[in-house]
Amino acid sequence: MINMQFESLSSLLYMNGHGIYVWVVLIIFLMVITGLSLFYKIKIKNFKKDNNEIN
Amino acid sequence: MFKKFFHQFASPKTFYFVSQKIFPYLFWLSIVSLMIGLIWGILYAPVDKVQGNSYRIIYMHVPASFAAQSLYMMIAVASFIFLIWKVKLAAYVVKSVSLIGASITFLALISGSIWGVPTWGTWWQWDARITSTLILFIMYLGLISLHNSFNNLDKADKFISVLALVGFINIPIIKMSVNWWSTLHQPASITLSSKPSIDMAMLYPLMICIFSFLGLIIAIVLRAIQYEILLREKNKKWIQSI
Repeated sequence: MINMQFESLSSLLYMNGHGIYVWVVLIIFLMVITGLSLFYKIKIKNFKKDNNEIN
Repeated sequence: MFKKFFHQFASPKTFYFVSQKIFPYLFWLSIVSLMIGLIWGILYAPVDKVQGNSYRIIYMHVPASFAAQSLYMMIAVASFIFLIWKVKLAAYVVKSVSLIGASITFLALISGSIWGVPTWGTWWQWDARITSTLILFIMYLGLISLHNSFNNLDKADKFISVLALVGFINIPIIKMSVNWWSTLHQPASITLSSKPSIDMAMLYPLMICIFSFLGLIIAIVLRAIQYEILLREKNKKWIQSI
């Protein structure tokens, strides 16, 4: 059986003093994957836009 | 038949259209499964007896480290194919994966460094695993800057492929560093040859995170290769018509 490990939102955020480390890593992790995903999407979009203008 | 398939798929045009079809399925499936893995690992996996809740960083650090090494292996294989068979697409792969590899290795280093504070009491240690991962990061940066330093793209492709193959020696060193030297970094919790040293309740979400993150990175790599194809083949008729 899978149980939620935290009784409240504050205990989830605090994580017995380790919350700061876990949440900072999660934020950086999400920023890197979002950044990489958007980077190439925007580059391709801009290329196609320029390509259409030239043609 | 295999040769025909290989030749067809190695054509930038075929690769572009096939990868465009695969991309949305791989991307969104990986995103959804990664979110499930992260929520499971961070909210529902049991607390570690020794490290407490700080061990939950494992659900981001291990997938990033695994992907950082896997991407370099992909670069090494593509470099070999390019140098031996002169397949253009392989050179595009080497160039495209370098930036993604550098970003993911940076993620592995920074997440490991933050994890080191509550676990080891230090941000950084010149430990064999950490130092060899830093060398991997420098290798990725070296590939990017070497490619950018040439005006002639054919020459740039050849030089970075050779450098990538030379740098491949670092991959087994990263992998074996925790066994060869007595390091601060813990030995691998999951190996092919023995039972995992991590509890199953922690292992399931970790496996989901590793494979879904790898799927997501492959999807991003497909996008990056598509962009490289557009740049390099921009004078071709089929690109002008898309």
